[in-house]
Amino acid sequence: MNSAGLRERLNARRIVTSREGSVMFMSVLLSIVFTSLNVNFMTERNFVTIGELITGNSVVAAGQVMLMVMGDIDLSVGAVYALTPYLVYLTYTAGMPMQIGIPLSILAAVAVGSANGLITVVLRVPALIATLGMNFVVTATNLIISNDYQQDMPYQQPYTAIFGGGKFLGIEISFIWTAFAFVILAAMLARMRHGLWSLSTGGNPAGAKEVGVNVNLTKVRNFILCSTLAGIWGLFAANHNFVFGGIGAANPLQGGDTLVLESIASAAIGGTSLFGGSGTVIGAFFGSLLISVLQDGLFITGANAYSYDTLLGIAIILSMVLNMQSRRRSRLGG
Amino acid sequence: MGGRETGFLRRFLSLREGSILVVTAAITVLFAIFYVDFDSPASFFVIATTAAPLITIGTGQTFLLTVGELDLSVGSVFALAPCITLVLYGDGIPLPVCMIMAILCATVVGFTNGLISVKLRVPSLLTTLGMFFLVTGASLEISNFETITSPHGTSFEIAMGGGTVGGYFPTTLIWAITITAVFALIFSYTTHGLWTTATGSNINASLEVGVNTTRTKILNFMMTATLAGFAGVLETMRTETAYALQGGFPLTLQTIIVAVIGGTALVGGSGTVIGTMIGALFLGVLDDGFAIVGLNYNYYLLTLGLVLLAAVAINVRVQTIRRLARISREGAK
Repeated sequence: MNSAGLRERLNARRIVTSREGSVMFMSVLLSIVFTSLNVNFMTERNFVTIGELITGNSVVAAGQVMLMVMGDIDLSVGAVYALTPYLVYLTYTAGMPMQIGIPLSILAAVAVGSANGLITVVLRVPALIATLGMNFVVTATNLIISNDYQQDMPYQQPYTAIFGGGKFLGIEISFIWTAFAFVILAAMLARMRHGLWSLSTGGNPAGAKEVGVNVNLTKVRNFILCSTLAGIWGLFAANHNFVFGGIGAANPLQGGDTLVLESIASAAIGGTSLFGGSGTVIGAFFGSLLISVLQDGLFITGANAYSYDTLLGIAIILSMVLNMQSRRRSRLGG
Repeated sequence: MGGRETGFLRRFLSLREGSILVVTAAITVLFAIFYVDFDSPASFFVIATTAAPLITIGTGQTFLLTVGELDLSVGSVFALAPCITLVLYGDGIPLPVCMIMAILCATVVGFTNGLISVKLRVPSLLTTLGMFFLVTGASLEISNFETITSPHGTSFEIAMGGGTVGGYFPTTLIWAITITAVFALIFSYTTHGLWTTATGSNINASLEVGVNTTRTKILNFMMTATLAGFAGVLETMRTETAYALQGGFPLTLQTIIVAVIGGTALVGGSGTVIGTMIGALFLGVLDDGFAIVGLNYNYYLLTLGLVLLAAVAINVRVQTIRRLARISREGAK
C-alpha cells in the first residue's frame, strides 16, 4: 500500500464518518455525558456492568447480521436463549452429567435453527413469519417443560466455569468468548467463502445462484449459526451468577422479546440494513456498545427508567434513516 | 372427471377465506360437542372480548399487508391512546374530546410510520419496531407507570366499549363488526381499496398507470394506527383501566396472525377483511376452548405458533397455485 492510501485510511475525519466510527464516537460522547452526571460511571465495576450488557446481546446481534445481509431475520433467538439453560437443568436432574447435557442443549438450538432454515427455504415462508411462529412454539415449550417455574442452574466444574460461570486470568470467561466470537464472525463475513456467499445471496439471489452459490444451503447455515449462538450465549447468561459466588438461574423467560429487539437494534445501529447484500459484524458490536452504555448510563444517573425505551426507539429509526441515506449515496456513486 | 375434481379442490383452496372458515367451524363444533360449558353465553362473551380488538386492528393490518408493508407498533399505540385519553380526562376535559384527541395522536403515529417507511425508504419492519419502543416509552412517561381507572356507567361510555347489549354481547364486538363491514366495502368497492391491492401486487406497473402509491401506503399506515388507537380506547372502557404496557408485542403479533391465517398474502397484493375477522374469531374460540378444556395459556401459545406456521405454509402454497392457474388461464386465451 502506498503512503497516500495509508494516510487516507488513517484520516481522522474518515474514521469518525465511517459507520462503525460514528457509532463508537456516539458511545464515547454518551460516556462523557454520563460521567459528568455521575462520577460512578467511570469506575471499573461499572465497566464490568457494561461488559455484561454487551455480552448479553452483541453476539446474538452478530448472528442476526449474518441473516440480515441475506434479507432474513430471526425472531426466535429470545426463546432459544432460555431453552438451552433449562435443558441443561432438566438433563442434569435426570441424571446426565453436564458433558452430555450441554451438547444436547446446544443440539436443540441447532435443531431450532435448522427448522427455521428449512421452513424458510423449503416451504418458502418469509423468515419474519417463520421465526415468529417458532418464537411462540419455543417460548411455549419453555413454559410447559418448566411449569412456569425458574430453577437453580446445576453446578459442575469445569463445565460451569467454561460456559460463563467463571473467570480466566481475572476476566469473566464470557467476555473472552464474546471477543473470540467477534474475531471469528467478522473474519467469516469479510474474508471467508461463506461470508461472500451470504452477501451475494442477499445482494442478488438469482445472480448468486447462476455463478454457483448454493443459496439454500447458505441460508440454512446462517439460520443454524444464529440460533446456535443464541443458545450458547443463553447458557452464559444463566451461569453468570456463579462468577460472583451466587447461584445461576434457568429462567424460562430469560432473553425473550427484549433480546430479540435489542439484537436487531444493535445490528441496525451498527449499519446493517434489512435489504441484504451489505452489513458488518463489528458494527453490531458497536451498536450493542451504544445501547449498553445508554441503558447503564440512564440507570446509574437515576434517569427515568423508561427513557431507555424511548431513546432505543429513536436510535433504531434514526440509524435506519442514516443507513438508507448512505445506501442511496453509494448507489449514486457520490 | 379427475380434472374436474382437482378443479373443485383448487377453486375451494383459492377461496381465500375458505380454509379458515372450515377450520373455525370444525373446532367450534368439536368444543361444543365435547364440552357443555362451551355452548353458553358466558363462553360467547369470552370469545367476543378476545376477538374484538383483534378484528379491529387486524382490519388495518390487512390493508397494510396487502399494500406490502406491516406495522409492529400497533400493540404500543393500543396503550398510548387510552393513556392519553384518561390523563386528559383527569385534567377536566370532557371524555369525547379526550378520545378524539387521543385517537388523532394515534393517527399521527401512523403518519410518521408511513412517512419514514415510504419517503425515507426504511423497511417498515424496522420503522415500526423502533416506533414500538418509542411509543411504549411515551406511554410509560404519560401514565407515570400507573394503572389509570376510567369512568364508566353513562350511556356514552357503554356505547364506547364499556358495556354490553343484553348482558353478553359486548359493544366492543359491535364496533368490530361495523368496522369490518365498512372496511370490507372500502377494500372491494373504492378506489383506495383497488389502489391498495394494485400497489401491493406490482408497484411499478401501478405507478405507470397513475396510482399514487406513496399516498396509498401512507394512508394505510395512518388507518392502521388509528384503528389500533380506537381499539385501545374501547378496550380501556371495557376493562375500566388503562395501563401503559397493555397490548404490547403479543397483541401486535396476534394482529398479524389473524390477517395471515384469514388468507391475506404476506407478500402483498391480495387480502381479505372478512377472512381477518374469521381469523380473529378462530383465536377467540381457541383461547376460550383451551381454558374450558383446562389447558393453560402456554398450550394456547404453542398452538398459536403451530397454527401460524401451518397457515403460512398453506398460504404460500395457495399463492403459487393461484399464480399457476392464472398463467394457464392466460395461456389458454
